[in-house]
Amino acid sequence: MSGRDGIGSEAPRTVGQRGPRPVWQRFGAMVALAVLVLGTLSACGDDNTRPYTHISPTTGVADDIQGLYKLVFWMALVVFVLVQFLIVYAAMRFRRKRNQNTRPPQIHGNKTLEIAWTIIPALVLLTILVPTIQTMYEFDAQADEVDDALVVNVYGKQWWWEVHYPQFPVSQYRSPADGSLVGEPQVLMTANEVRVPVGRKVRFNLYSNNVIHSFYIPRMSGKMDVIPGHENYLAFTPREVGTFYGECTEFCGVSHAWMRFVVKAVEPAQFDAWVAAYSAPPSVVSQQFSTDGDVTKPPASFGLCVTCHNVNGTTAGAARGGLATDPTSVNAAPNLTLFGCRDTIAAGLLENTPENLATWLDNPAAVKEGNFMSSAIKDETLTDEQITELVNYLESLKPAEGCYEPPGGEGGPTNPDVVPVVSSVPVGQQPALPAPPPVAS
Amino acid sequence: MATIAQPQPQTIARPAVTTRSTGLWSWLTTVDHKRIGILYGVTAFLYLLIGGLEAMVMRVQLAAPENDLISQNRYNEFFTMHGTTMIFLAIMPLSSAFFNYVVPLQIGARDVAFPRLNAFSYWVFVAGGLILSLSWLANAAPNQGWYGYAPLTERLSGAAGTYGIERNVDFWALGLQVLGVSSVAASLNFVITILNMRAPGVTLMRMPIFCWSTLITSILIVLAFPAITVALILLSMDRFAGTHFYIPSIWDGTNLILTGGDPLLWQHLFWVFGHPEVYILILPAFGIVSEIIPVFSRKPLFGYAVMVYAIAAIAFLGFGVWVHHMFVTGLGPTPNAVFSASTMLIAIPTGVKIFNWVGTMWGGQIKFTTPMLFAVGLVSQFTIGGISGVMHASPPIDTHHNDTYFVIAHFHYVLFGGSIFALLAGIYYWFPKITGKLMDERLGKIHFWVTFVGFNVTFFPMHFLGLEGMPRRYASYAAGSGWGFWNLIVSSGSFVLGASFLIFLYNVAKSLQHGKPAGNDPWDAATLEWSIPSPPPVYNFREIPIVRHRDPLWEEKYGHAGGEGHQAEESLDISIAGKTISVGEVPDEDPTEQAERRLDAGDTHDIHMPNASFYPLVAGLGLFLSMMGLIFSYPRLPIGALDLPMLTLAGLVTFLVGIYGWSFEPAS
Repeated sequence: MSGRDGIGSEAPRTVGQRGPRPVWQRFGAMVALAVLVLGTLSACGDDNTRPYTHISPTTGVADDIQGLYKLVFWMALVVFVLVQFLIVYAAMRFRRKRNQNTRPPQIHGNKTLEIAWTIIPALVLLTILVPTIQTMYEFDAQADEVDDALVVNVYGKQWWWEVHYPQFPVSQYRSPADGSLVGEPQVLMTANEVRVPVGRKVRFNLYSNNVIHSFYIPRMSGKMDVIPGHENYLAFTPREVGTFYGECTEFCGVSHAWMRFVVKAVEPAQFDAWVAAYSAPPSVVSQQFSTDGDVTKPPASFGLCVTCHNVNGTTAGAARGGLATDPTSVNAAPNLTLFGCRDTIAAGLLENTPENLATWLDNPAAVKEGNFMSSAIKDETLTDEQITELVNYLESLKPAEGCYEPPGGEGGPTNPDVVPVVSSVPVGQQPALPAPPPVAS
Repeated sequence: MATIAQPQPQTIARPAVTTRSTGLWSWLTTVDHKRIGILYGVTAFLYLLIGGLEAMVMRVQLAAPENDLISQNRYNEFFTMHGTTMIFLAIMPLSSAFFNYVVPLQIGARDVAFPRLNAFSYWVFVAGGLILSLSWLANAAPNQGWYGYAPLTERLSGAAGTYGIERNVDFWALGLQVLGVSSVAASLNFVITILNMRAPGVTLMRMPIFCWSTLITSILIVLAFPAITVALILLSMDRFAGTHFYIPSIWDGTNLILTGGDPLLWQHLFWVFGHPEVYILILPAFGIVSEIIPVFSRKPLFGYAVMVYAIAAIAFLGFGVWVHHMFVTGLGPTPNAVFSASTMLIAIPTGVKIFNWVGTMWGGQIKFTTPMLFAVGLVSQFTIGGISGVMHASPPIDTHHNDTYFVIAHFHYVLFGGSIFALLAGIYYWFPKITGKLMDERLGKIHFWVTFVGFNVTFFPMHFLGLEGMPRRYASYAAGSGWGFWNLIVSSGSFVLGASFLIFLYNVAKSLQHGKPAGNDPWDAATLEWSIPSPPPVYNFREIPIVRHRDPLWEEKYGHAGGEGHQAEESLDISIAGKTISVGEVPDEDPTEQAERRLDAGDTHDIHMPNASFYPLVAGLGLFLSMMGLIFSYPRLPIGALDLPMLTLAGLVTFLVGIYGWSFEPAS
């Protein structure tokens, strides 16, 4: 990289020379650094290796911020070069010569100059401030227009995200006795994955019942804090089909670094199909605990899981207790509906493969420090047989007709070279899956 | 009080004590501002090294993706302690070291206004530092971030998990509370010293600019620390007394109870303190640089008055920008617009200072000694931090930069490229005065360039990491994130930076042993501290000097002109004890006449030095014990027959004994 060479050229060997040489080298290094910034800005080509970059925007909101950023960046670069040039020039031009005995003119100041370098920066700042304020009010106004928007409620948890679609009611528990739907109505609910249609405004309402988090999808929008007792929101219109990566950016405790999520922007028709698959009422059979090894039913050991987890349409009446302050609002643990279609486990920490899931169930604390599942499941809590049956069951939680991934790669199963998951757990071949649970239409 | 003494009309009085005692006891009981300055400096530098080592552990952890050298919780402890240590235990007290050592010398005083309060400030600082450091031994180092956002700092347990149960946050909250006592006491002392103890003729607008930055920094501390004191008291009540100032609602098992608390209350209180704190860290640096650049350019400071106004303006505006730390908390466009504007406004006086430093160099005869290199290094590197600061003064842009490495890059250019560069410059500059020996220039220059390179390799790539979306406070990151390359560069740079401190320590050790004698005035400097021997005698000035000029020593050496174009100022009459001295006439008199004239005028600033006292140490120990007792009160920790929470009572008694003894101790 040119930047490394530029910095490296300021080797300390030039120390002590009286001539202008070290100063020139320093100046050269600064130019190299500036070039490096430019390089970073213009290198927008290969976004697949930079999943969290914010200088490659894909929504109108992100475009506006990027426009503002470019304006400020260029002005900053001019000021930077100007000031550094003045410093370096003064340092070279006005060096003390040997045996210089007369003192230089003792100048105490210059009113004109001082007024000039007060007013000119003020004008420069004004040219930043005006578009800044315009942009902020525009964002706020467009976030308040929610008539046709897709509403997504996001709940920050320690350390995962629960995602609710309040506009889509989902199935309830189906009574084994007569097949009728019973139980409390719910909304469509996922964890750590947000699926949105392109071309339609999405409004995210952000909630927390524990500590402060921050919801950030760099390529789609700026971040917004998720604060207990406050309802914050973000709104933007996804433009490009694809998978985008999100992260928590407010320190929220031990595993803050592993609180990630993906946003899958898909064509509207695919979004509708996905909603339909999610909303379909379950069959009676899939919600009863298995007693005969039928992997399409939850194994008996799943009883431990449903203390906290929920699967839409089963009797897995999860503990709806929250962490601390407001347990009524959301679940204690990720909703596992259609778990087999998830890309990752533990909020972007592991790729969702049977092997990784088995590792996770074996000892959650060893995978993700401090997570609350590890207070219930320690090493040796589950036997190998139980882990196997749980893995088989969980990976089977898919619609019969597949996961509604959009075709053609984009937005589909993500490229394992790119998906930012920890790769230290070996990724094996997906075993032949047992028959998916039948889905009533 | 210590400063009152009998006038001795015959001759200028000789001090009672002219030789130093050097034993441990003399250091424990000293009230000499110079020794307290040295104590501050050595202690703070130790913490600077500790904070740096903490940073390097983090850099090793982040050098490669998915590294698990240390656990996530340990990493969280490291970044919390790194920030807390650097801000409260390294940079602030290092600045304080210079306040203590230099300010009384520059204003021509023999000590600060309240010498024992000064000692008390130091010992309380040590107490606060110890409380924070001992958390490591309890395996409960603070792990919530130096800014301690509630509710992560609350003590809560719920159906599916708990947080904040252990003592980590208590060590932090009570440690900071104690440090606040130290800072406010020291700052009141300096405000009073500077306003009251200036030698005749040192008018406010003739004070060296470093004294101005000390005065204004001290005022900032006095006004800003009450906000964090209140915030920490509320937090402590939440943690120890079951209140809910920062929690909006609680769940009692069946019902949701709204408490009226709000996590944002903490953020407002904290940043009302926290932003002025940034200026508390940088204004002393500006003062140091404003001393050094004129001396090595052989020119007076360009635009002195404007520089003073700029410091004052920065300090004043510094109280009106705190919401720029909260641009992503959803306050709405109107508050964000107002605080965006005020934040940009504060860039103007800051920019003026940069240009005035360049103006000082312009047309001068610059000699790049080590202190000058570091000072010009500040002008150059701080500018980068200033510019990136303006970038995220725009709230939409800040929604990207906030809590990413871009911000880390920004404030390290301000606090390392600014504060630390200036503090190192100050050490190189005043080391000859403090020790009587010159530091090694060749090693100094090597030190500067290694620091400069290491600093930029460490912190500049963090801008790129920020642009690529790497959040702060991540204990690890995935290989696919695209952050591996720059993190490796950053980590390598941090080792260069670490090595630079070894060069510095070697230089200090070598110079202490073999440094060339400095003489009174090795730099051909302009201010009063260079008119007296190095190291200065206990009493500083045998005679209180009379000052007629902003650069008194240059005026003395080079006459009124101090060089061509150097305007003599109009003579100012000084009023002392109701009598008037016309300063313009005084220098023509011989020194004895001067002294008699001063004494006739009621000037009683004779040599009399306050007695050493150990009561400040006792009072500081009391605060330490009482806070430790409180920390161990919940969860209660008795060890055998020893009930640690009882320390609180013992500490309060000790504190009262200290204050009582101090009150009735004769001053001198």
